[in-house]
Amino acid sequence: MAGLGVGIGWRSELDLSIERMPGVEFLEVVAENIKPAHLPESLRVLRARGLPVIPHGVSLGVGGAEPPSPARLAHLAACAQALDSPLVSEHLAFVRGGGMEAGHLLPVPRTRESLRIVTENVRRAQDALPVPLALENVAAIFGWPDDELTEAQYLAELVERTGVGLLIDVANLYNNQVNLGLPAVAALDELPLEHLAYVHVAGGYEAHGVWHDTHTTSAPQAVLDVLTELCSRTTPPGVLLEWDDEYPSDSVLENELSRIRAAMALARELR
Amino acid sequence: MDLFLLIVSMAVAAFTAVTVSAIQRRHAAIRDFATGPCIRDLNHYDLAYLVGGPQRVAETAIALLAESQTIRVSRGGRVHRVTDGVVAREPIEEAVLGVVADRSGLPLLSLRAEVSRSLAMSSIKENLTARQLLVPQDSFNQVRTLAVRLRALLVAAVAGVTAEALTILAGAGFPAWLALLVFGGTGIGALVALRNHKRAMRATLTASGAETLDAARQANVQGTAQGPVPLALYGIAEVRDADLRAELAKRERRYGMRRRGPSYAGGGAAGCGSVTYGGSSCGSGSSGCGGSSGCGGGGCGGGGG
Repeated sequence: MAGLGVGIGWRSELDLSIERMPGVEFLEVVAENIKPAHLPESLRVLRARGLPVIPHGVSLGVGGAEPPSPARLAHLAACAQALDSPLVSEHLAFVRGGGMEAGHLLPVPRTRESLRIVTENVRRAQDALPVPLALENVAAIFGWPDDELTEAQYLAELVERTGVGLLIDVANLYNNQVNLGLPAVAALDELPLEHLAYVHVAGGYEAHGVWHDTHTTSAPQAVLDVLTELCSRTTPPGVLLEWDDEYPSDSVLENELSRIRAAMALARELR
Repeated sequence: MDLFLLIVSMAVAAFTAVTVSAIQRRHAAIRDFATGPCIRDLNHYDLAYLVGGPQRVAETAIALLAESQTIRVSRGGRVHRVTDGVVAREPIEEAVLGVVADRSGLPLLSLRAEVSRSLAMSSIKENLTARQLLVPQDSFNQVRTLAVRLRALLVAAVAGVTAEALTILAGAGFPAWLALLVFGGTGIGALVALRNHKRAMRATLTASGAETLDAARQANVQGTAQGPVPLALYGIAEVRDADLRAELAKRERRYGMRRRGPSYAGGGAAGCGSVTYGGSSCGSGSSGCGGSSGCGGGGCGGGGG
Protein backbone atom coordinates (compact mmCIF):
# COMPACT_ATOMS: atom_id res chain seq x y z
CA MET A 1 0.00 0.00 0.00
CA ALA A 2 1.43 3.35 -1.02
CA GLY A 3 1.97 5.94 1.70
CA LEU A 4 -1.10 8.01 2.38
CA GLY A 5 0.22 10.13 5.25
CA VAL A 6 -1.99 11.84 7.80
CA GLY A 7 -5.53 12.66 6.79
CA ILE A 8 -9.00 13.57 7.96
CA GLY A 9 -12.48 12.32 7.26
CA TRP A 10 -14.13 14.66 4.77
CA ARG A 11 -17.52 15.93 5.88
CA SER A 12 -19.60 18.47 3.99
CA GLU A 13 -19.74 20.69 7.07
CA LEU A 14 -15.96 20.82 7.13
CA ASP A 15 -15.34 21.17 3.40
CA LEU A 16 -13.81 24.65 3.34
CA SER A 17 -12.00 23.99 6.63
CA ILE A 18 -10.37 20.91 5.19
CA GLU A 19 -9.50 22.67 1.96
CA ARG A 20 -7.49 25.28 3.86
CA MET A 21 -6.12 22.93 6.54
CA PRO A 22 -2.35 22.57 6.31
CA GLY A 23 -0.72 19.15 6.26
CA VAL A 24 -3.72 17.06 5.23
CA GLU A 25 -2.38 14.34 2.94
CA PHE A 26 -5.40 12.17 2.27
CA LEU A 27 -9.13 12.00 2.87
CA GLU A 28 -11.88 9.54 3.44
CA VAL A 29 -15.50 10.15 2.51
CA VAL A 30 -18.54 8.21 3.68
CA ALA A 31 -19.57 6.52 0.44
CA GLU A 32 -23.28 6.60 1.27
CA ASN A 33 -23.13 10.40 1.48
CA ILE A 34 -22.02 11.07 -2.08
CA LYS A 35 -23.23 10.47 -5.61
CA PRO A 36 -20.40 9.41 -7.88
CA ALA A 37 -21.93 11.23 -10.84
CA HIS A 38 -22.19 14.46 -8.88
CA LEU A 39 -19.23 14.68 -6.57
CA PRO A 40 -19.21 17.59 -4.12
CA GLU A 41 -17.23 20.53 -5.45
CA SER A 42 -14.89 20.36 -2.47
CA LEU A 43 -13.89 16.78 -3.26
CA ARG A 44 -13.25 17.74 -6.86
CA VAL A 45 -11.04 20.60 -5.67
CA LEU A 46 -9.13 18.36 -3.29
CA ARG A 47 -8.73 15.62 -5.89
CA ALA A 48 -7.40 18.22 -8.32
CA ARG A 49 -4.73 19.01 -5.74
CA GLY A 50 -3.71 15.37 -5.87
CA LEU A 51 -5.07 14.27 -2.48
CA PRO A 52 -6.19 10.62 -2.42
CA VAL A 53 -9.80 10.14 -1.35
CA ILE A 54 -10.95 6.78 0.02
CA PRO A 55 -14.66 5.87 -0.11
CA HIS A 56 -15.62 4.47 3.27
CA GLY A 57 -18.79 2.41 3.34
CA VAL A 58 -20.97 2.01 6.38
CA SER A 59 -23.83 -0.13 5.10
CA LEU A 60 -22.42 -3.05 3.10
CA GLY A 61 -22.71 -5.49 5.97
CA VAL A 62 -20.16 -8.13 4.98
CA GLY A 63 -20.59 -9.56 8.46
CA GLY A 64 -24.15 -10.64 7.74
CA ALA A 65 -25.46 -14.03 6.70
CA GLU A 66 -26.65 -12.65 3.37
CA PRO A 67 -24.34 -11.85 0.47
CA PRO A 68 -23.54 -8.16 0.12
CA SER A 69 -25.98 -6.23 -2.00
CA PRO A 70 -24.85 -5.89 -5.64
CA ALA A 71 -26.29 -2.37 -5.67
CA ARG A 72 -24.25 -1.31 -2.64
CA LEU A 73 -21.15 -2.85 -4.14
CA ALA A 74 -21.81 -1.10 -7.44
CA HIS A 75 -22.09 2.19 -5.57
CA LEU A 76 -18.79 1.62 -3.78
CA ALA A 77 -17.16 0.70 -7.08
CA ALA A 78 -18.57 3.83 -8.75
CA CYS A 79 -17.30 5.98 -5.89
CA ALA A 80 -13.84 4.47 -6.20
CA GLN A 81 -13.82 5.11 -9.94
CA ALA A 82 -15.18 8.64 -9.67
CA LEU A 83 -12.58 9.52 -7.04
CA ASP A 84 -9.80 7.49 -8.63
CA SER A 85 -9.31 5.99 -5.19
CA PRO A 86 -6.45 3.67 -4.27
CA LEU A 87 -8.78 1.49 -2.19
CA VAL A 88 -12.24 1.23 -0.65
CA SER A 89 -12.89 0.57 3.02
CA GLU A 90 -15.83 -0.91 4.91
CA HIS A 91 -16.58 -2.39 8.30
CA LEU A 92 -16.42 -5.96 9.43
CA ALA A 93 -19.87 -5.59 10.87
CA PHE A 94 -23.33 -7.05 10.99
CA VAL A 95 -25.84 -4.37 10.01
CA ARG A 96 -29.01 -6.15 8.85
CA GLY A 97 -30.76 -9.47 8.76
CA GLY A 98 -34.09 -10.75 7.53
CA GLY A 99 -34.94 -7.36 6.09
CA MET A 100 -34.36 -5.54 9.38
CA GLU A 101 -31.74 -2.80 9.62
CA ALA A 102 -29.82 -2.78 12.90
CA GLY A 103 -28.96 0.90 12.59
CA HIS A 104 -25.56 0.14 14.12
CA LEU A 105 -22.29 -1.42 13.14
CA LEU A 106 -22.70 -4.54 15.28
CA PRO A 107 -19.93 -7.04 16.00
CA VAL A 108 -19.85 -10.27 14.05
CA PRO A 109 -20.25 -13.56 15.95
CA ARG A 110 -16.64 -14.75 15.85
CA THR A 111 -17.23 -18.41 15.12
CA ARG A 112 -15.72 -20.70 12.50
CA GLU A 113 -19.10 -20.93 10.82
CA SER A 114 -19.50 -17.17 10.53
CA LEU A 115 -15.92 -16.88 9.30
CA ARG A 116 -16.79 -19.18 6.41
CA ILE A 117 -19.76 -17.00 5.45
CA VAL A 118 -17.93 -13.71 5.91
CA THR A 119 -15.02 -15.03 3.83
CA GLU A 120 -17.44 -15.69 1.01
CA ASN A 121 -18.99 -12.24 1.40
CA VAL A 122 -15.61 -10.55 1.33
CA ARG A 123 -14.60 -12.44 -1.79
CA ARG A 124 -17.79 -11.36 -3.53
CA ALA A 125 -17.07 -7.77 -2.56
CA GLN A 126 -13.50 -7.99 -3.76
CA ASP A 127 -14.66 -9.38 -7.09
CA ALA A 128 -17.10 -6.50 -7.54
CA LEU A 129 -14.69 -3.71 -6.66
CA PRO A 130 -12.12 -2.24 -9.03
CA VAL A 131 -9.69 -1.47 -6.19
CA PRO A 132 -8.54 -3.33 -3.05
CA LEU A 133 -10.91 -3.56 -0.10
CA ALA A 134 -9.92 -2.87 3.51
CA LEU A 135 -12.10 -3.85 6.47
CA GLU A 136 -12.32 -2.01 9.77
CA ASN A 137 -12.65 -3.47 13.23
CA VAL A 138 -15.77 -2.09 14.90
CA ALA A 139 -16.45 -0.59 18.30
CA ALA A 140 -18.62 -2.94 20.30
CA ILE A 141 -20.68 -2.49 23.40
CA PHE A 142 -21.37 -6.22 23.68
CA GLY A 143 -19.89 -9.54 22.52
CA TRP A 144 -21.64 -12.64 21.31
CA PRO A 145 -21.70 -15.45 23.89
CA ASP A 146 -20.36 -18.21 21.63
CA ASP A 147 -17.33 -16.44 20.18
CA GLU A 148 -14.61 -18.94 19.32
CA LEU A 149 -11.95 -16.45 18.22
CA THR A 150 -10.70 -13.09 19.42
CA GLU A 151 -11.30 -10.18 17.08
CA ALA A 152 -7.64 -10.15 16.09
CA GLN A 153 -7.62 -13.89 15.40
CA TYR A 154 -10.78 -13.56 13.38
CA LEU A 155 -9.37 -10.70 11.31
CA ALA A 156 -6.05 -12.52 10.83
CA GLU A 157 -7.86 -15.57 9.57
CA LEU A 158 -10.02 -13.49 7.27
CA VAL A 159 -6.97 -11.72 5.87
CA GLU A 160 -5.24 -15.03 5.27
CA ARG A 161 -8.24 -16.43 3.41
CA THR A 162 -9.09 -13.37 1.32
CA GLY A 163 -6.06 -11.07 1.28
CA VAL A 164 -8.37 -8.23 2.36
CA GLY A 165 -6.64 -5.13 3.76
CA LEU A 166 -6.98 -3.97 7.34
CA LEU A 167 -8.29 -0.64 8.47
CA ILE A 168 -7.43 -0.64 12.15
CA ASP A 169 -9.38 1.83 14.25
CA VAL A 170 -7.27 2.29 17.37
CA ALA A 171 -10.17 4.08 19.06
CA ASN A 172 -12.29 0.96 18.48
CA LEU A 173 -9.56 -1.22 19.98
CA TYR A 174 -9.58 1.05 23.00
CA ASN A 175 -13.39 0.96 23.02
CA ASN A 176 -13.35 -2.83 23.14
CA GLN A 177 -10.74 -2.77 25.86
CA VAL A 178 -13.00 -0.58 28.03
CA ASN A 179 -16.31 -2.24 27.19
CA LEU A 180 -15.31 -5.86 26.70
CA GLY A 181 -12.02 -6.14 28.55
CA LEU A 182 -10.08 -7.03 25.39
CA PRO A 183 -6.59 -5.51 25.73
CA ALA A 184 -5.85 -3.25 22.75
CA VAL A 185 -2.10 -3.84 22.76
CA ALA A 186 -2.58 -7.59 22.82
CA ALA A 187 -4.82 -7.27 19.77
CA LEU A 188 -2.04 -5.42 17.95
CA ASP A 189 0.27 -8.35 18.63
CA GLU A 190 -2.17 -10.75 16.96
CA LEU A 191 -3.17 -8.69 13.96
CA PRO A 192 -1.42 -9.22 10.63
CA LEU A 193 -0.16 -5.64 10.45
CA GLU A 194 1.65 -6.30 7.18
CA HIS A 195 -1.83 -6.08 5.63
CA LEU A 196 -2.51 -2.73 7.24
CA ALA A 197 -4.09 -0.29 4.78
CA TYR A 198 -4.53 2.64 7.13
CA VAL A 199 -5.56 3.58 10.65
CA HIS A 200 -8.49 5.47 12.17
CA VAL A 201 -8.21 7.71 15.22
CA ALA A 202 -11.22 9.24 16.93
CA GLY A 203 -12.53 10.49 20.23
CA GLY A 204 -15.44 9.48 22.37
CA TYR A 205 -16.46 9.55 25.98
CA GLU A 206 -17.07 7.22 28.87
CA ALA A 207 -20.37 7.18 30.71
CA HIS A 208 -21.18 4.75 33.52
CA GLY A 209 -18.23 2.59 32.60
CA VAL A 210 -19.19 2.28 28.94
CA TRP A 211 -17.08 3.87 26.20
CA HIS A 212 -19.11 5.61 23.50
CA ASP A 213 -17.29 5.91 20.20
CA THR A 214 -18.94 9.17 19.17
CA HIS A 215 -16.23 10.83 17.06
CA THR A 216 -17.27 14.12 18.65
CA THR A 217 -14.37 14.89 20.97
CA SER A 218 -10.60 14.89 20.97
CA ALA A 219 -9.06 11.44 21.08
CA PRO A 220 -8.06 10.60 24.65
CA GLN A 221 -4.38 10.06 25.27
CA ALA A 222 -5.09 6.35 25.81
CA VAL A 223 -6.20 6.07 22.15
CA LEU A 224 -3.10 7.89 20.97
CA ASP A 225 -1.02 5.54 23.10
CA VAL A 226 -2.54 2.62 21.18
CA LEU A 227 -1.58 4.43 17.97
CA THR A 228 1.98 4.77 19.24
CA GLU A 229 2.02 1.09 20.07
CA LEU A 230 0.81 0.26 16.58
CA CYS A 231 3.38 2.56 15.00
CA SER A 232 6.13 0.93 17.06
CA ARG A 233 5.25 -2.37 15.36
CA THR A 234 4.85 -1.12 11.81
CA THR A 235 4.72 2.05 9.78
CA PRO A 236 1.06 2.55 8.85
CA PRO A 237 0.53 3.72 5.27
CA GLY A 238 -1.91 6.31 6.57
CA VAL A 239 -3.52 7.57 9.74
CA LEU A 240 -6.84 9.36 9.55
CA LEU A 241 -8.74 11.47 12.06
CA GLU A 242 -12.48 10.87 12.20
CA TRP A 243 -14.73 13.61 13.57
CA ASP A 244 -18.48 13.47 13.14
CA ASP A 245 -20.86 16.13 14.40
CA GLU A 246 -20.17 18.61 17.22
CA TYR A 247 -17.45 20.05 15.02
CA PRO A 248 -14.89 22.23 16.74
CA SER A 249 -12.91 25.09 15.23
CA ASP A 250 -10.29 24.58 12.55
CA SER A 251 -7.55 25.12 15.10
CA VAL A 252 -8.83 22.27 17.30
CA LEU A 253 -8.93 19.93 14.32
CA GLU A 254 -5.44 20.99 13.28
CA ASN A 255 -4.27 20.36 16.82
CA GLU A 256 -5.77 16.87 16.69
CA LEU A 257 -3.75 16.15 13.56
CA SER A 258 -0.65 17.43 15.34
CA ARG A 259 -1.34 15.11 18.28
CA ILE A 260 -1.62 12.20 15.85
CA ARG A 261 1.70 13.11 14.22
CA ALA A 262 3.31 13.42 17.65
CA ALA A 263 2.02 9.98 18.66
CA MET A 264 3.45 8.51 15.45
CA ALA A 265 6.76 10.31 15.96
CA LEU A 266 6.98 9.01 19.51
CA ALA A 267 6.88 5.45 18.18
CA ARG A 268 9.81 6.21 15.87
CA GLU A 269 11.78 7.47 18.85
CA LEU A 270 10.93 4.37 20.87
CA ARG A 271 12.01 1.97 18.14
CA MET B 1 -70.09 71.04 -20.77
CA ASP B 2 -66.72 71.84 -22.35
CA LEU B 3 -66.28 74.78 -20.05
CA PHE B 4 -67.20 72.67 -17.03
CA LEU B 5 -64.58 70.04 -17.88
CA LEU B 6 -62.00 72.79 -18.39
CA ILE B 7 -62.74 74.12 -14.90
CA VAL B 8 -62.48 70.60 -13.46
CA SER B 9 -59.15 70.03 -15.21
CA MET B 10 -57.74 73.22 -13.77
CA ALA B 11 -58.96 72.30 -10.30
CA VAL B 12 -57.33 68.86 -10.54
CA ALA B 13 -54.13 70.49 -11.80
CA ALA B 14 -54.07 73.00 -8.98
CA PHE B 15 -54.77 70.38 -6.32
CA THR B 16 -52.04 68.18 -7.83
CA ALA B 17 -49.53 71.04 -7.76
CA VAL B 18 -50.33 71.72 -4.12
CA THR B 19 -49.94 68.03 -3.23
CA VAL B 20 -46.65 67.65 -5.12
CA SER B 21 -45.32 70.73 -3.44
CA ALA B 22 -46.34 69.37 -0.02
CA ILE B 23 -44.63 66.05 -0.72
CA GLN B 24 -41.44 67.81 -1.79
CA ARG B 25 -41.48 70.01 1.30
CA ARG B 26 -42.03 67.01 3.53
CA HIS B 27 -39.18 65.07 1.93
CA ALA B 28 -36.93 68.11 2.28
CA ALA B 29 -37.86 68.31 5.96
CA ILE B 30 -37.05 64.60 6.40
CA ARG B 31 -33.72 65.06 4.63
CA ASP B 32 -32.86 67.98 6.87
CA PHE B 33 -33.94 66.09 9.95
CA ALA B 34 -31.16 66.22 12.49
CA THR B 35 -28.30 68.22 11.12
CA GLY B 36 -26.59 67.89 14.45
CA PRO B 37 -23.07 66.83 15.16
CA CYS B 38 -21.33 63.98 13.49
CA ILE B 39 -21.42 61.00 15.84
CA ARG B 40 -18.10 59.45 16.64
CA ASP B 41 -18.70 56.56 19.00
CA LEU B 42 -20.37 54.21 16.58
CA ASN B 43 -19.20 50.65 16.39
CA HIS B 44 -18.93 48.66 13.21
CA TYR B 45 -22.44 47.25 13.53
CA ASP B 46 -23.88 50.75 13.82
CA LEU B 47 -21.97 51.76 10.71
CA ALA B 48 -23.09 48.61 8.93
CA TYR B 49 -26.69 49.55 9.66
CA LEU B 50 -26.17 53.04 8.23
CA VAL B 51 -24.63 51.56 5.09
CA GLY B 52 -26.99 48.74 4.36
CA GLY B 53 -29.52 48.30 7.10
CA PRO B 54 -30.23 44.98 8.84
CA GLN B 55 -28.85 42.87 6.02
CA ARG B 56 -25.43 44.54 6.09
CA VAL B 57 -25.32 44.18 9.87
CA ALA B 58 -26.18 40.49 9.64
CA GLU B 59 -23.60 39.91 6.90
CA THR B 60 -20.95 41.74 8.90
CA ALA B 61 -21.66 39.70 12.01
CA ILE B 62 -21.66 36.42 10.10
CA ALA B 63 -18.42 37.28 8.32
CA LEU B 64 -16.66 38.37 11.51
CA LEU B 65 -17.79 35.31 13.44
CA ALA B 66 -16.72 33.04 10.58
CA GLU B 67 -13.33 34.74 10.38
CA SER B 68 -12.81 34.22 14.11
CA GLN B 69 -13.86 30.52 13.76
CA THR B 70 -16.82 31.08 16.04
CA ILE B 71 -19.08 29.73 13.32
CA ARG B 72 -18.23 27.79 10.18
CA VAL B 73 -19.42 28.47 6.64
CA SER B 74 -19.30 25.55 4.25
CA ARG B 75 -19.69 25.35 0.51
CA GLY B 76 -23.26 25.93 -0.57
CA GLY B 77 -23.53 28.78 1.93
CA ARG B 78 -24.49 26.80 4.99
CA VAL B 79 -23.56 28.04 8.42
CA HIS B 80 -22.59 25.60 11.13
CA ARG B 81 -22.12 25.71 14.86
CA VAL B 82 -18.57 25.47 16.19
CA THR B 83 -18.51 23.75 19.53
CA ASP B 84 -15.54 25.58 20.98
CA GLY B 85 -16.40 28.97 19.56
CA VAL B 86 -15.52 31.96 21.70
CA VAL B 87 -18.27 33.83 23.50
CA ALA B 88 -19.88 36.59 21.48
CA ARG B 89 -19.11 40.11 22.55
CA GLU B 90 -21.95 41.93 20.85
CA PRO B 91 -25.69 41.34 21.12
CA ILE B 92 -26.00 40.96 17.36
CA GLU B 93 -23.28 38.29 17.44
CA GLU B 94 -25.20 36.55 20.20
CA ALA B 95 -28.23 36.63 17.94
CA VAL B 96 -26.28 34.94 15.14
CA LEU B 97 -24.88 32.31 17.49
CA GLY B 98 -28.30 31.69 19.00
CA VAL B 99 -29.84 30.93 15.62
CA VAL B 100 -26.89 28.77 14.54
CA ALA B 101 -26.96 26.88 17.85
CA ASP B 102 -30.61 26.04 17.27
CA ARG B 103 -30.27 25.19 13.60
CA SER B 104 -26.74 24.36 12.60
CA GLY B 105 -26.46 24.04 8.83
CA LEU B 106 -28.93 26.82 8.11
CA PRO B 107 -28.42 28.52 4.71
CA LEU B 108 -26.73 31.91 4.87
CA LEU B 109 -29.78 33.67 3.48
CA SER B 110 -32.10 32.20 6.09
CA LEU B 111 -29.66 33.04 8.85
CA ARG B 112 -29.35 36.59 7.60
CA ALA B 113 -33.13 36.94 7.49
CA GLU B 114 -33.51 35.56 11.03
CA VAL B 115 -30.85 37.84 12.42
CA SER B 116 -32.37 40.81 10.59
CA ARG B 117 -35.55 40.23 12.59
CA SER B 118 -33.78 39.86 15.94
CA LEU B 119 -34.22 42.05 18.97
CA ALA B 120 -30.54 42.95 18.78
CA MET B 121 -31.12 44.36 15.31
CA SER B 122 -34.11 46.38 16.52
CA SER B 123 -31.94 47.70 19.30
CA ILE B 124 -29.30 48.93 16.83
CA LYS B 125 -32.00 50.65 14.81
CA GLU B 126 -33.58 52.26 17.86
CA ASN B 127 -30.21 53.49 19.06
CA LEU B 128 -29.37 55.03 15.70
CA THR B 129 -32.82 56.60 15.45
CA ALA B 130 -32.56 58.00 18.96
CA ARG B 131 -29.23 59.55 18.03
CA GLN B 132 -30.89 61.14 14.99
CA LEU B 133 -28.82 59.23 12.46
CA LEU B 134 -31.81 57.38 11.06
CA VAL B 135 -35.09 58.98 10.10
CA PRO B 136 -37.83 57.78 12.47
CA GLN B 137 -40.33 55.57 10.69
CA ASP B 138 -43.28 57.75 11.73
CA SER B 139 -41.70 60.69 9.91
CA PHE B 140 -42.96 59.18 6.69
CA ASN B 141 -46.59 58.91 7.78
CA GLN B 142 -47.64 62.31 6.45
CA VAL B 143 -45.81 61.96 3.18
CA ARG B 144 -47.35 58.53 2.66
CA THR B 145 -50.82 60.09 3.07
CA LEU B 146 -49.93 62.79 0.57
CA ALA B 147 -48.70 60.16 -1.88
CA VAL B 148 -52.05 58.36 -1.64
CA ARG B 149 -53.81 61.61 -2.46
CA LEU B 150 -51.46 62.16 -5.41
CA ARG B 151 -52.23 58.71 -6.78
CA ALA B 152 -55.96 59.53 -6.61
CA LEU B 153 -55.32 62.75 -8.53
CA LEU B 154 -53.35 60.79 -11.13
CA VAL B 155 -56.37 58.54 -11.60
CA ALA B 156 -58.59 61.60 -11.96
CA ALA B 157 -56.23 63.08 -14.56
CA VAL B 158 -56.22 59.87 -16.58
CA ALA B 159 -60.01 59.74 -16.41
CA GLY B 160 -60.11 63.37 -17.54
CA VAL B 161 -57.86 62.67 -20.52
CA THR B 162 -60.13 59.80 -21.53
CA ALA B 163 -63.28 61.89 -21.19
CA GLU B 164 -61.81 64.79 -23.14
CA ALA B 165 -60.60 62.51 -25.91
CA LEU B 166 -64.13 61.16 -26.33
CA THR B 167 -65.55 64.69 -26.25
CA ILE B 168 -63.13 65.83 -28.97
CA LEU B 169 -64.05 62.83 -31.11
CA ALA B 170 -67.67 63.93 -30.76
CA GLY B 171 -66.73 67.33 -32.25
CA ALA B 172 -66.00 69.52 -29.23
CA GLY B 173 -64.13 72.77 -29.62
CA PHE B 174 -61.16 74.68 -28.19
CA PRO B 175 -62.04 74.37 -24.43
CA ALA B 176 -61.98 70.57 -24.75
CA TRP B 177 -58.53 70.64 -26.37
CA LEU B 178 -57.28 72.90 -23.60
CA ALA B 179 -58.75 70.67 -20.88
CA LEU B 180 -57.12 67.63 -22.56
CA LEU B 181 -53.73 69.37 -22.37
CA VAL B 182 -54.26 70.33 -18.72
CA PHE B 183 -55.32 66.80 -17.70
CA GLY B 184 -52.42 65.30 -19.66
CA GLY B 185 -49.84 67.63 -18.14
CA THR B 186 -51.24 67.00 -14.67
CA GLY B 187 -51.00 63.25 -15.14
CA ILE B 188 -47.40 63.40 -16.35
CA GLY B 189 -46.45 65.71 -13.50
CA ALA B 190 -48.06 63.39 -10.94
CA LEU B 191 -46.24 60.37 -12.38
CA VAL B 192 -42.86 62.10 -12.15
CA ALA B 193 -43.55 63.25 -8.60
CA LEU B 194 -44.59 59.76 -7.51
CA ARG B 195 -41.42 58.28 -8.98
CA ASN B 196 -39.30 60.82 -7.10
CA HIS B 197 -41.28 60.13 -3.95
CA LYS B 198 -40.64 56.40 -4.24
CA ARG B 199 -36.92 57.02 -4.57
CA ALA B 200 -36.89 59.42 -1.64
CA MET B 201 -38.73 56.92 0.55
CA ARG B 202 -35.78 54.53 0.26
CA ALA B 203 -33.38 57.01 1.88
CA THR B 204 -33.61 56.54 5.60
CA LEU B 205 -30.46 58.31 6.76
CA THR B 206 -30.71 61.75 8.28
CA ALA B 207 -28.24 64.42 7.24
CA SER B 208 -26.18 63.61 10.33
CA GLY B 209 -26.33 59.93 9.51
CA ALA B 210 -25.11 60.52 5.97
CA GLU B 211 -22.31 62.78 7.18
CA THR B 212 -21.26 60.38 9.91
CA LEU B 213 -21.13 57.61 7.38
CA ASP B 214 -19.19 59.72 4.94
CA ALA B 215 -16.69 60.56 7.64
CA ALA B 216 -16.26 56.89 8.48
CA ARG B 217 -15.57 56.15 4.83
CA GLN B 218 -12.99 58.90 4.65
CA ALA B 219 -11.28 57.51 7.73
CA ASN B 220 -11.36 53.94 6.40
CA VAL B 221 -10.63 54.16 2.71
CA GLN B 222 -11.53 50.99 0.89
CA GLY B 223 -8.52 48.79 0.26
CA THR B 224 -6.28 50.48 2.81
CA ALA B 225 -7.98 49.95 6.17
CA GLN B 226 -8.43 46.59 7.87
CA GLY B 227 -10.70 45.21 10.54
CA PRO B 228 -14.41 45.12 11.20
CA VAL B 229 -15.12 48.73 10.20
CA PRO B 230 -14.10 48.32 6.53
CA LEU B 231 -16.12 45.10 6.48
CA ALA B 232 -19.12 47.03 7.74
CA LEU B 233 -18.58 49.90 5.32
CA TYR B 234 -17.66 48.03 2.16
CA GLY B 235 -19.18 44.63 2.67
CA ILE B 236 -17.98 41.13 2.02
CA ALA B 237 -15.32 42.24 -0.47
CA GLU B 238 -13.32 43.03 2.67
CA VAL B 239 -13.42 39.45 3.98
CA ARG B 240 -9.82 38.25 4.13
CA ASP B 241 -10.41 34.53 3.61
CA ALA B 242 -10.82 34.01 -0.12
CA ASP B 243 -13.00 30.90 0.16
CA LEU B 244 -15.30 32.48 2.69
CA ARG B 245 -15.47 35.66 0.63
CA ALA B 246 -16.37 33.68 -2.46
CA GLU B 247 -19.09 31.79 -0.62
CA LEU B 248 -20.63 34.93 0.83
CA ALA B 249 -20.34 36.74 -2.48
CA LYS B 250 -21.99 33.87 -4.28
CA ARG B 251 -25.05 34.26 -2.11
CA GLU B 252 -24.97 38.00 -2.64
CA ARG B 253 -24.75 37.72 -6.41
CA ARG B 254 -27.47 35.13 -6.59
CA TYR B 255 -30.02 36.96 -4.50
CA GLY B 256 -28.72 40.37 -3.63
CA MET B 257 -29.34 42.06 -6.95
CA ARG B 258 -33.05 41.39 -6.82
CA ARG B 259 -33.45 43.10 -3.53
CA ARG B 260 -35.11 46.50 -3.59
CA GLY B 261 -35.01 47.44 0.01
CA PRO B 262 -34.48 50.84 1.53
CA SER B 263 -31.31 52.71 0.70
CA TYR B 264 -29.46 53.37 3.90
CA ALA B 265 -26.26 54.92 2.65
CA GLY B 266 -27.00 58.35 1.38
CA GLY B 267 -24.93 60.20 -1.10
CA GLY B 268 -23.33 61.77 1.84
CA ALA B 269 -22.33 65.33 2.19
CA ALA B 270 -18.68 65.61 2.82
CA GLY B 271 -17.35 66.82 5.92
CA CYS B 272 -16.55 65.45 9.26
CA GLY B 273 -12.93 66.14 8.66
CA SER B 274 -10.41 63.51 9.42
CA VAL B 275 -12.05 60.86 11.50
CA THR B 276 -10.84 57.53 12.72
CA TYR B 277 -13.58 55.00 13.22
CA GLY B 278 -12.13 52.07 14.95
CA GLY B 279 -10.00 50.84 12.15
CA SER B 280 -7.98 47.75 12.66
CA SER B 281 -7.59 48.35 16.34
CA CYS B 282 -11.21 47.55 16.94
CA GLY B 283 -10.81 43.83 16.79
CA SER B 284 -13.98 41.98 16.27
CA GLY B 285 -15.49 43.07 19.46
CA SER B 286 -17.15 46.28 20.30
CA SER B 287 -15.26 48.87 18.47
CA GLY B 288 -16.07 52.48 18.24
CA CYS B 289 -14.22 55.50 17.26
CA GLY B 290 -11.65 55.22 19.93
CA GLY B 291 -11.30 57.80 22.55
CA SER B 292 -8.74 60.10 21.09
CA SER B 293 -9.67 59.77 17.51
CA GLY B 294 -12.09 62.39 17.10
CA CYS B 295 -14.94 63.00 14.85
CA GLY B 296 -14.15 66.59 15.18
CA GLY B 297 -12.96 68.96 12.60
CA GLY B 298 -15.13 70.87 10.35
CA GLY B 299 -18.23 70.32 8.66
CA CYS B 300 -20.70 68.48 10.76
CA GLY B 301 -21.46 71.24 13.06
CA GLY B 302 -21.28 70.77 16.68
CA GLY B 303 -17.92 69.36 16.23
CA GLY B 304 -15.82 67.57 17.84
CA GLY B 305 -14.69 65.25 20.14
